[in-house]
Amino acid sequence: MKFLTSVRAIALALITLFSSVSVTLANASESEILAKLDRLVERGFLPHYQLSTVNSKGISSYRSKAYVDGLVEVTEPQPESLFAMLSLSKPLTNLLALKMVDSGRIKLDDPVAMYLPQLAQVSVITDDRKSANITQNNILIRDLLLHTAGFAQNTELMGLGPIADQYRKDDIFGVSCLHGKEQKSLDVMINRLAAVPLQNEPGTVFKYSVATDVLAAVLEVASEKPFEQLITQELFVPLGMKNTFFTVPVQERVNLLPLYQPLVKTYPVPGDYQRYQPLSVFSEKGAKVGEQPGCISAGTGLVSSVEDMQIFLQFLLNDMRLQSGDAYLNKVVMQSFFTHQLGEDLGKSPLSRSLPRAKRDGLSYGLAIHLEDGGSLAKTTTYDYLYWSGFSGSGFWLNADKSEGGIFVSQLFNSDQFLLPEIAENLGH
Amino acid sequence: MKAKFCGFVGLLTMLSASAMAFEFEASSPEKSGFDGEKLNEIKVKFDELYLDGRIPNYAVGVYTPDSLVYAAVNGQVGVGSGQTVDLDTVYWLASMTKPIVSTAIIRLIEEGKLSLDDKLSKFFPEFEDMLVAPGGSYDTTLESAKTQITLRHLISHTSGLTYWTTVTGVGDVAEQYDELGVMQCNAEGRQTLDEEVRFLAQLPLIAHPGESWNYSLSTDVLGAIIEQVTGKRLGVYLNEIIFQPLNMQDTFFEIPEDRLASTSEIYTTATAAQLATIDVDSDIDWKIIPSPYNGIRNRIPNCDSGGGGLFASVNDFAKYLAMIANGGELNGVRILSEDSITLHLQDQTTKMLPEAFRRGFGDDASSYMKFAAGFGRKMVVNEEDNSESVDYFFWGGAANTFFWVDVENGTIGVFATQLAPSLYNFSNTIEEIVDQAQAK
Repeated sequence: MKFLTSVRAIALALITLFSSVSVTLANASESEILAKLDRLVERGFLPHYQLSTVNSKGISSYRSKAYVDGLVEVTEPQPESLFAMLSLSKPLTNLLALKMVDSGRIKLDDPVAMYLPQLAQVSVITDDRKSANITQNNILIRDLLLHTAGFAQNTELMGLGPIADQYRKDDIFGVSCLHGKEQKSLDVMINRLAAVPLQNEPGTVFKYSVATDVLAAVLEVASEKPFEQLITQELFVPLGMKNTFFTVPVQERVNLLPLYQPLVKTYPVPGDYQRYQPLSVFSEKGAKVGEQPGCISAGTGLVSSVEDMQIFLQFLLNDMRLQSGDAYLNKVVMQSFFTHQLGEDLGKSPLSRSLPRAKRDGLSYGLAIHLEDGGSLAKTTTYDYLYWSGFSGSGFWLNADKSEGGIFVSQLFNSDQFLLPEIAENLGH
Repeated sequence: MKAKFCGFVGLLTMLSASAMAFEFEASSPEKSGFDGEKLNEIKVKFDELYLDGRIPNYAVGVYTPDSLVYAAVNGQVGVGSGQTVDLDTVYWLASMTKPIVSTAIIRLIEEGKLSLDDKLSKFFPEFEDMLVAPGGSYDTTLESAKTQITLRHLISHTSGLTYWTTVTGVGDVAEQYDELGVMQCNAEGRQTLDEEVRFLAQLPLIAHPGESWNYSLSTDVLGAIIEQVTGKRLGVYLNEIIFQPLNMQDTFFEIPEDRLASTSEIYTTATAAQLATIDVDSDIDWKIIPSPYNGIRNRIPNCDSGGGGLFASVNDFAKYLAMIANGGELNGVRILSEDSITLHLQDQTTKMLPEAFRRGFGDDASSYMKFAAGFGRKMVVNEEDNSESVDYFFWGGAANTFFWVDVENGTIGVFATQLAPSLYNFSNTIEEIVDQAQAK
């Protein structure tokens, strides 16, 4: 880490409007995608980005660029800056769940209702969306890890359809969890959720959803600890992640990066301008994720730094060995985080119905799996890379052979840039 | 009355068909003195966007006042529709309507029916005593307008009016424009331009007239003045004095039924929240989805929006610009006198500092922009004596159309795709390519 900081200081270059930092040794095939990322900042499509690659031994590159001194205020992000993970929170929560499985505190086939009795008898909307029937299958913990529980996602955070909209109306795991005046317990959230029918019969369809938030409620009950305390003690501390929080300590808040949203205006003039504006979805102007969460949303609420994500990726690349050399999980459980887990009955393109860009991708207990051309989800040797990405354009990936991985950070809420596949395919291959 | 009017238009059409019927001569870059290879960089640039799935199609033409020098097109009128676009495909011009309406105002000035110094209250007395909410904010005390709005203010966007928030509207006033649906001609008691403009007078301005530059509904107000002075609906008047004389057969506020199939559909950039993608058999990974604006293509408008209601083909719009580049006349048909063209293209924002444009259109705009009657003026600084001169005149539209016209060397460029809001206005790059192609 010290090495990174010192090189970064030497490499610091300030150009009129743009501030960029690079300790990347880009080869010719990588330089095209890096130039594209830089152009997106220069032309005002992205306020800033950070990109770092790591291998099992350490950090191999770090790079950032920001549009500073523009009309819209943007700060140059640093490796220790705290960014809103949004959906990147999900794989971390899932990993903690696997830890609980590994230590025998929960089982993947446990019905969720064992822990959350509110969900003992839930209904599912009928195909014509006019009524609801009691479900035939139990929701299992496995379904929460795989988004096959039948839940939807709040429309405020990527959800679509009537159930998603009901979540918005009932304030279920929406933007008020990221920032809210009063803090609602997970129990309150689950009560609200239990009153809304499921979108799909449990176990039958992959549907990107609030399942990860429900998973956190299960883990709270199973561990008898508040989720925030549980994930800190059992994941962040053992891994050495010191800057990953739901509620950022007051003294650390100076490092929080703000979120932006696309500027939906029409400028009939040529040239570049900042095509984004400060995010305005929170009840309080200028609020940042991590200052005052309205609920602990394990699916969207974490805040972390590139430094911490470098540690996390390095841990994954080392088959989840801790810095002490100890294994975090037993081998079988560990492998389930890196291999396809959805049943064949969910089809050959199981994710694409709710994530259309994830054509032919598979799903492990924490990550999406991108295949090589002509590859098959049944053959791990044909995996290209594993990844997860979020609502603000951030994402991380690991090459399937675990030779290298990387983290890309962008803070454009509801981003119109889908860069992770291009970055993962062009870097480190 | 209707029959009489139809007869008159019919007569004009016949006249234009027999005596003028202007069409650009299909030339080649080399024949017109351009380097074709250099011009082909234009196609490369837009193909990059199209093949990346960022725009649904595009049609771009480079012209001199009498010839089509270079054209590049790609894509279909609707993704997967099978019908390819060309320079005659109809596109929603949106704000590119504004220069044309401004031309009509200049024409009425030439005819002595209007003056740039006329007060708006001369036509709409409701505007005599306006209130100002500085910066559009209702948190501050409303002030009485220091001066009355004139036509000069309206034609140069210095009237103090603003826009809806979806365009460039500012503050609480813009939000009120949204809530009340001003200038849409579809509210009760507000079905005509006249009624809309009188209603607009009830809302405060966001700045004192003449003091700052705010892109606005001013051009819609100019449309209402034209209707009052001429006694004709705006579309009818524009047809009579501009579209028919210049043989612009594909320019209209209401798309004729038989032209709908060759009108481009409108798209918007997909964001993370819009999970649906375009599902057609194509090698392109589409990053766009159909826009809610699509409905305007087959709507019968209650009124003609001078700020953004026109549809036209690239070829048609180029005819209008050819007339401007040619000093007001094209193929023997004079639309404006040379003096009027001079007035049309004069800087109307001499008092405005660069900050005025930065606030309106972002960082880059402040470095080059001034504004004439309906046209942006792209300024360049002469390094030798630090003097400023006009590089070209330009404007663009909300669905990502844009044009430039260089009145010095007579080159014209018109670009159209249909992506709202607009993200790719490259008139600066394209004009530079054309300049370099001509210099070689």
